[in-house]
Amino acid sequence: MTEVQLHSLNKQYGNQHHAVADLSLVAPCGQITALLGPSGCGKTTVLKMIAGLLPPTSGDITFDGQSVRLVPPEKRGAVMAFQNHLLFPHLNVADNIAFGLKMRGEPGAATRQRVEEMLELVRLTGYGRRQPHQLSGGQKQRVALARALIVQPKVLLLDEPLSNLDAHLRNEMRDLILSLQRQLGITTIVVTHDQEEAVILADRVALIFEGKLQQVGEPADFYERPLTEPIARFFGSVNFIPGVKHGSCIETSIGSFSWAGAVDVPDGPVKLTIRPESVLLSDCQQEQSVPGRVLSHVYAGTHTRFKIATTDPALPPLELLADAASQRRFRDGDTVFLHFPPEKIWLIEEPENFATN
Amino acid sequence: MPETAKSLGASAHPFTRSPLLLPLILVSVVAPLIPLLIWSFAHRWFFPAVLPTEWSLRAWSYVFSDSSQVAAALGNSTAVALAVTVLSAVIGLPAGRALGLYEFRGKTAVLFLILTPAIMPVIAVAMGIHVAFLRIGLADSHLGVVLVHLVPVLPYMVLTLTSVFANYNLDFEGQARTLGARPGQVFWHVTLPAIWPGLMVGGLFAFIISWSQYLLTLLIGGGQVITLPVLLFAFANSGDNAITAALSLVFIAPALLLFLFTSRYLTGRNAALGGLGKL
Repeated sequence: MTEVQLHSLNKQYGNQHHAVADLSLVAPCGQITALLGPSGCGKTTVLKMIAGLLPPTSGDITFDGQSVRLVPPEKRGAVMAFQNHLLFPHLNVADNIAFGLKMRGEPGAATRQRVEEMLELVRLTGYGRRQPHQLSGGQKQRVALARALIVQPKVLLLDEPLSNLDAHLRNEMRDLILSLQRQLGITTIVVTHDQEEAVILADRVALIFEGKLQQVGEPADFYERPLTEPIARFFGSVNFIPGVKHGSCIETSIGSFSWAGAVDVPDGPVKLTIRPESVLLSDCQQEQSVPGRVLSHVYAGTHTRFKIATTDPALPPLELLADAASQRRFRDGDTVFLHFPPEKIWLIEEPENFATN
Repeated sequence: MPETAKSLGASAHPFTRSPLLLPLILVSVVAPLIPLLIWSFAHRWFFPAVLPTEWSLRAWSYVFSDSSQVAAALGNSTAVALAVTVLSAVIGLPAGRALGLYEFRGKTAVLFLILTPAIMPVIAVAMGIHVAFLRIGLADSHLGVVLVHLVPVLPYMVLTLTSVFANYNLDFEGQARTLGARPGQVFWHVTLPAIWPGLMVGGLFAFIISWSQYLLTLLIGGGQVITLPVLLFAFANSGDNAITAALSLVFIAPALLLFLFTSRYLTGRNAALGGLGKL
C-alpha cells in the first residue's frame, strides 16, 4: 500500500493564473481521499500531476516518501480513470481491459484469464466481445474501472467517477467502487464537484477553492465544523448570524444565545452558525427563543423548509431558514418562535471585519 | 445502437440515400473511359462511323512490349508517388497535430502559408526551384522529383490531418500512459488507430496528386525521370490515339483501384473529412 503526499504543489499556466496554489496534502495508505471543489478549481489538474501527465510548476509529489517528479507516468504505478471513461474505440471490451497488461508484454493466456476475472469483478461477465459503443454509460464506466484495476496500481485516481451517471446507476457504481476499494485496499484519490459524492465515497475530504486548499478532514467535519463561511455554504445552506462571544454567551443582533460547543473558541467576534435542520420551530415562546414570521415554505417530502424573518420590534429583522418535520404545518404569515439548541450551534471565528457586517 | 445511428444521421449527406447516386457515379466515372477503351483497340476509326471499322491489338501489344518503357514508367510513378505519400505523412503528422490541437500565435499565418501551394499554380515557383535544385544537384534525380511533388501535396495532407486532430481527444494518450504504455506504444496502439482513417484519406490525396504530376516531373526530372504522365504526354503529342488511349487506361487504373480500396475512409462516417468544416 502506498501513501501519496503532495508538498506545496503549484501549477501555473501563463504568467499569473494559478491553477493550483501551494497545495500540501496527504492521501493515507489504502484510504479514499476526495478532492472536492467547484468546477474549474484545479482538481483535475492535481490528479493529472499525480498521474504524471502534467509537470508541476513547483513542489513535489511523493509515493511512500519517494519523489515521483521525474518518474514518467507509465512507471509511476498510478492509474487514472478519466471522467468520460475514454474506452479506446478501436478495441473491444476485453482488449480495452487487457490494454495495460499488453503494454507490459504479459503473455496472452494469463492476460485472458485476468480479463475474465476483471469482467466478473465489475459484473460484466460475457461482455468481452462487445464494442464500446454498444455499452451503456454505466457499463462503460465499469469497463474503465476494470481496465484501471487489472494493472494492480499502487494508486487509483478517479476523475468524477459518478458524474455522468443517472441516479440509480450512481448508487450502483458507488457501491462497486467502495466494495472494490475495500477488497483491494488501493490508495484512491477521487476528484468530484459534488459534496454528496465526496461524503459518500471518501474517508477523507480535501476541499479546494480556486486552486487553494480550504479544509481537510473527515466528511462530518465539513457539515458540523466548517472553518469558514464559504465552506459551510458549499455544504448546504446554513444560517449565519454575526455576533460576539463572551464565555458561553453569544451576543448577536437578534438576541443572545447560550453556546455549548465542544471546541474551544477564543472570546471575540464570531459568526454564529446553525443548520436549518437544527433550528427548532414552535408556536409558543420559550427561553431564548426568537419570534419570527413565516415568509415562504418549500415542501421537500421528508421535511418542509421555511424562510422566516425575525420580528422582534426592538431589533433589526433577519431572514433565516429552518426545517420542520412535514407534519408540522405552519402557513405563510404565521408567527413562530425559533430556538437554537446550544449544542447545535457552531462558531466560525471572525477576523476584525465584524463591525462592517 | 442509438449512438451509431445518430452519428450516421448527423454526418450522412441527403444525397447518399438517393437511389440515383450509384448510377450517377458510375456514369460519371465509367462513361469517359468507354471511348478510351474502344480507341485502344481501334485500328481504323474515322468520322462518321460509330465504332471502329477495323480492330487491332497493336496498341496493347506495344504498351506491354519492352521497348515502350511503360513498365519502367509505371515503376517510377509508383516509387515516386509512394515516397511522396510516406514523406508527406511524416511531415504532415506533427504539423497537423500542432495545428489541430493547439492554439498559438501566428496560427492563421501558418495555415495560410500551408494553403498557398493549393491556391497558387506551382509552375510559378517551379523555375526557381529548378535553378536551386540544379545548384545542389537535385535536378534530374528521383529525389528531386519526390521533393518537388511535396509542394502541391503537402497542403492536402496537412489540412486533412489538421482536421483529424481537431476532433482528437488528447486525454486518450494520457489514459494510455497511466495504464503503462511508453510514448512509442502510445503512438502505435492509440494515436495511429485513431487517426488512421484521416491518414488514409490524406495518403490517397498525396498519392493521386503525385501520380498525376506532369509539368513538375518534366521540369525537375529533366527527362531523366520518366513517369507515366511524361510518357502519356509524349504519345498524346505524337497523335497516335490508340496508344494514347491504352496508356491513359494504364495510367488511370491504379488510381481507380486505390480509390476503391480506400473509399470506405472517404464516407463521412469516421469524421476524417467531416472535421474540415472546423477550419
